Amino acid sequence: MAVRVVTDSSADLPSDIANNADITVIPCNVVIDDVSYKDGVDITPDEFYQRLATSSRLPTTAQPSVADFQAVYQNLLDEGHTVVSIHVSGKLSGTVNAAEQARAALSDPAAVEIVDSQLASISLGLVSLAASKRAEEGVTIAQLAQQVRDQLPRTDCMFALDTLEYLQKGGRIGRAQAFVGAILSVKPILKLQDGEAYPLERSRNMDRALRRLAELVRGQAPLTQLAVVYSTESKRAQDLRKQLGDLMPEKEIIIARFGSTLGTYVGPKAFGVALTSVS
Amino acid sequence: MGEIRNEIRGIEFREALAFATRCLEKHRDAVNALNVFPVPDGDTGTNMLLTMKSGTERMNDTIEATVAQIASWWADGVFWGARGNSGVILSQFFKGFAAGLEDVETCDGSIFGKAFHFATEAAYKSVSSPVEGTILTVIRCMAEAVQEKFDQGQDSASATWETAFRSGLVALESTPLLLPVLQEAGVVDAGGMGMVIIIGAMWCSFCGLDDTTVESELGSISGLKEWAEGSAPLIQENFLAASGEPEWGYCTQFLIQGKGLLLEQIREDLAMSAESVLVVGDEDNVRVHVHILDPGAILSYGVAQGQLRQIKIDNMSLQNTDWSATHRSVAEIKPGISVVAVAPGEGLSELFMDGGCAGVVSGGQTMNPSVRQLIDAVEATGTSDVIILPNNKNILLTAEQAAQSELGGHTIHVISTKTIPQGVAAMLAFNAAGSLGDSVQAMAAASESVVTVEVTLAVRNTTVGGLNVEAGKYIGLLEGDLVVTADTPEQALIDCLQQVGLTEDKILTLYWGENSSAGQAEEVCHELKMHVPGLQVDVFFGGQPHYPYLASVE
Repeated sequence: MAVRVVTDSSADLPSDIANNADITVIPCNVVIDDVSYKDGVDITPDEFYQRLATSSRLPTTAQPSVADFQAVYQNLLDEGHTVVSIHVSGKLSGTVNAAEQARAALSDPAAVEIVDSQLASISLGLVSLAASKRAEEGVTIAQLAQQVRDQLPRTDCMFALDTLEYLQKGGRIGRAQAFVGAILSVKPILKLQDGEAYPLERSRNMDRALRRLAELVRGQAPLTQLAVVYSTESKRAQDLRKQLGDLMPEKEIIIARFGSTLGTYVGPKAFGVALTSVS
Repeated sequence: MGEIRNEIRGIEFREALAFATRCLEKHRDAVNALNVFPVPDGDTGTNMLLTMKSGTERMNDTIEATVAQIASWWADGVFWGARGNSGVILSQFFKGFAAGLEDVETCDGSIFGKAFHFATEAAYKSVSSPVEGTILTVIRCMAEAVQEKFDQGQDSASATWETAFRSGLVALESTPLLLPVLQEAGVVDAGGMGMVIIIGAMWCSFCGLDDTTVESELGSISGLKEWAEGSAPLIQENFLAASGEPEWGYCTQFLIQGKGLLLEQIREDLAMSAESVLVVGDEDNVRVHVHILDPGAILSYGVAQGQLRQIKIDNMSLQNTDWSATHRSVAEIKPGISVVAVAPGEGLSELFMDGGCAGVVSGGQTMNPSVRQLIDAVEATGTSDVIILPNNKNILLTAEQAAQSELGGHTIHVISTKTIPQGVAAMLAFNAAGSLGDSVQAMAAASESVVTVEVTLAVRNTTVGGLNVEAGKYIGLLEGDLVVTADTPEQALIDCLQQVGLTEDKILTLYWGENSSAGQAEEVCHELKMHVPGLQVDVFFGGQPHYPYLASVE
């Protein structure tokens, strides 16, 4: 009889971390060449990026179905738990809507609280992780949901992309439209603001972009949580984590991977950082 | 010498301005040749001439106008047409001059003396760091001498103007003593010379002299290169077609937007049937102003050249034609920030547009746009705040003048970019989604973070910074200083970059111009990458005239 945390695969939460924290991850769907896959279940990130490189058409994503949500909620409720369900920004995905519809159909809707994180990728993962830790301490569903909402303003995520092409073609470019224009091989640095992509800066190459990401992270210190996320270049992600080692013990800095859902929009050779600051 | 004129009437002042413009045109090349840097685009003479020519844009042809009114209309016209630093200072001179004149029927020496004083103050105020040994010195010395002579009892208008001219000459000769680069290059200041020609010509006009006096005085100054000797004197002409009769017909103005527009041809064609023909601009934008009985013919001509905008036709036979600036197209203004950049060359133009600029002004072959051209681009953005990137140190004052003009609804902010690469860095730092203050700060910082190298052809022999430059060789400028000379543009580029010091963590961006080629650019890159393996080199087609290579290191 505890509060359990549910999130979706766009949180890019490494599966071992999710399992250890008793977080249920509902997979989103990605459609590649007319075949639908469950993100992180039917297709691994490596497979996804290989297909991304070779497929003639861009993949598309779809939120988990209402039935998928219902199944998970009902299961947890049957085990005697209540649920705080934290999901990707409603401006980027219909996932929260599907969750709401599933909850409405439950016999006891009050047993499930749904939070639109206004975040995506590992920053959503960090919020879910923090929530599951607090759930262990024994809180009510209402308290936990409030704590989650209180944390949201302190959690940020920033991305350095190789190209805006995927984001633009996938229709999630938001205000980052200002940076479209692939001149002089510039690498755009974006953040999530008000639940959608927001342009921060442009760097002349990825090395400088990553250095800027590190600087931007430092600017938010001290931190309680920190993560680095990447799509295809793990070595550079490791280097970035090393660079940030003065802010937090390296082993506490999570390294995550953009799964198929995020990968559809950030593309290959992309990086991100997520953090929760103390204040 | 010449007639003594105690007082000058408005009509004579207007004629003198026109005469001065023609005189400047005659000696434009000599003024251009004085530029210290032997670069193909240092066109002080052309800039001052184009500035003067725009003085007629707001001019009214009534006989009864006072000197003050004429001066005010002239100042208005040159304000908008000002281009290049000297052109802008000249426009500020006229603005101050007009403000200092009392609005009376005729002006004598004391009235003009006050005007010269006001003009000097306005000119100095327009430059944030005034430098002596330039056009400013000439202007100041003129005003001081006029005041001194007046204190000694000289008060006729003609004597005042003669004093201004002669003291201007002395000041012009002193400029090499005040500015070492002039001394080294063996020239007097170009802007100062333009000023002396204008004031001297006006004096001649008042006294019924032709311009040989001005010419012979100037010809005696050492440090004037390629002075045209033995050229026929300009005979003073009446500005009005017939004295004593008001002009009638329509004052017709419009902007032609097209491609490959030929200014001279358009001017010639129009002059065949119209009066007071003024044609200014560049191959993409030409502003036309004529007086003609049937405006339809002129409009048909314009339509054959390109798209017409900002069309304004006034019936001049009506009294009190309203010359307010209502001909500007008033686009709907929305809150927001845009960037307007000045860039020559279609590649550079595309680069700035792709990078997020709302508009690019080309400035034509002289690469110097007028205040009006900048304002047109600002207005075309339709946003409340517009950031201008001048990208050339000779356009900084023009941009600042544009920023100070009172535009309804737009606020202009100038980032002082002096080179194209500084402009590119600034543009990349622009964030339309952020606050204006953040963008301005980031753009200014970014523009200072690059080192610029420019390679061009030396158009004269000269000595700069201890370096002997031969015409026809290539020169390399590092952050605006002439540091190398070589037989090929590629060699000049490499030698210059060597002085910068390239290391593998740097990024070199190379923009090749219309006098280079993709192949040559690639070859230079290849050589540079061999010397510094791991160096990031971005090559880009800029298409700029005059400069085979522009480069930045950051």
